[in-house]
Amino acid sequence: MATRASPAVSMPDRRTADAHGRAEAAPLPPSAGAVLALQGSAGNAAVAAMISRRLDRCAGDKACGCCAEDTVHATSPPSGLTDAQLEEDVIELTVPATERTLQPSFFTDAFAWAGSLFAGAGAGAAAAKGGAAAGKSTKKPAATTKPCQCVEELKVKGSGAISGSYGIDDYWPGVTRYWGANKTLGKFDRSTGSGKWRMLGHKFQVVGRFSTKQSAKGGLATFQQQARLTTTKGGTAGAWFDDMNYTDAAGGDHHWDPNAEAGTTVKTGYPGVRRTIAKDKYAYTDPPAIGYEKGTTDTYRNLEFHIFFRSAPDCPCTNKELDVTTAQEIEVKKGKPKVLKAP
Amino acid sequence: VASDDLEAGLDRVDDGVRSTAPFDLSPRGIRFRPGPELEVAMAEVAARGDSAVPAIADRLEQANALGAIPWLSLLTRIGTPPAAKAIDDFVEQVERENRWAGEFPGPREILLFLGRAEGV
Repeated sequence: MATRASPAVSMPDRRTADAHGRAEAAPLPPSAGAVLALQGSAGNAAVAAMISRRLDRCAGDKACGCCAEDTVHATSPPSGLTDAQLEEDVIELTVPATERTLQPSFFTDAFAWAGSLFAGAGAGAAAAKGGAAAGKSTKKPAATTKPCQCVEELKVKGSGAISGSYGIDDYWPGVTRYWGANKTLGKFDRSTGSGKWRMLGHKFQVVGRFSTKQSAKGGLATFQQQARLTTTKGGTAGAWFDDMNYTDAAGGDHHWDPNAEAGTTVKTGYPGVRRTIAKDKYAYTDPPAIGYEKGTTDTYRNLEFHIFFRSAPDCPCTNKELDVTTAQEIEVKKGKPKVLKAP
Repeated sequence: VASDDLEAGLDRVDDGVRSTAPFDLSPRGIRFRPGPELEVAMAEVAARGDSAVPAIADRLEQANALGAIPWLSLLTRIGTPPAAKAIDDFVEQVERENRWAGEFPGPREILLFLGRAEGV
């Protein structure tokens, strides 16, 4: 099986979200200064007055579609940003009441309308052209940085309660009855409902804590879970593979992405398993298991895990990468299982 | 009617699966990992090609969900149009009857194993 590097998950640029949270290229907002310039150039106080009236209306009507919110909060995917970081972004995104944003089409429409009323079609077109020019900002874009995440701590939990509010059913819908209690980690040994087959395994949770800094590119901390198998006791381990990959009967590779948020990040072909369990923590769970028949099966498996938690590539972090190893070793003799190691 | 040799070969596969349980079970999907002896037994059956398909389909029909995995794997290895049709017929039947609903593996896992589940 091919080893797959964890795909980098890029942080949406919060500054390009529109007033309703949709991500799009953000037009440079014309300012109130531009409105004043209109009064003196293209020239019509009636147009400026109409714009002002509409701006006033916008102040009390966020849904009118003609203006920006005072502040913009992108909410998907959950960013896990700190309060301080959020506050910083709020400051950058705040649009003073005197500089509310108008859609470019609004200017065009307004000047076309004004031109037809006061100066005829030709003048209207000229006014529209002038308006578009006046709408351009002369400000130089400030050098911007974006939030990036640094890994600070990586833990594997193999017992007790699952950290965070999400149970197994939230990670893997519909499987709880086979993997035991919904919010408890550790060993399970249950009937599969499939003949005499039983399923023995362990639920473990990987929790990564991160801090947030700033970098030119920004980016999220990412997980990778590698594994390798030894199928005979004392035998040679197989090669490391990406344990989030799944290979079907025909050899087709399928991927569960430990960096895509389950249920909230829909990345075609890469269903996510990660959950944001706190402002500064990501987590995922894994319940590896073997099947066996009582009185029949003789099998052995040592499944070793090497788990990585990596900082965003260009983030100024103390830790570029944290890693931890754990293993699940199970031996079954004549259908009687014995757990030798557990995560 | 399957030959005695073929039936004996299928029995070896069945015994190998039951004794070694070569399955990694996860909600991500089921990995079928036959050991060396089981691999040889499966290769011998698969080498018979289309002539083995009806007998494998019979075993598939009688299997429980986990036990279906090796027979589906064999049909996938044979990979000819009759083998593909046997898989198609099986999938259609599982979906129509909602067979193994409430079990693990269930219909979802079988479709995942066949690479036919959407979104994965």
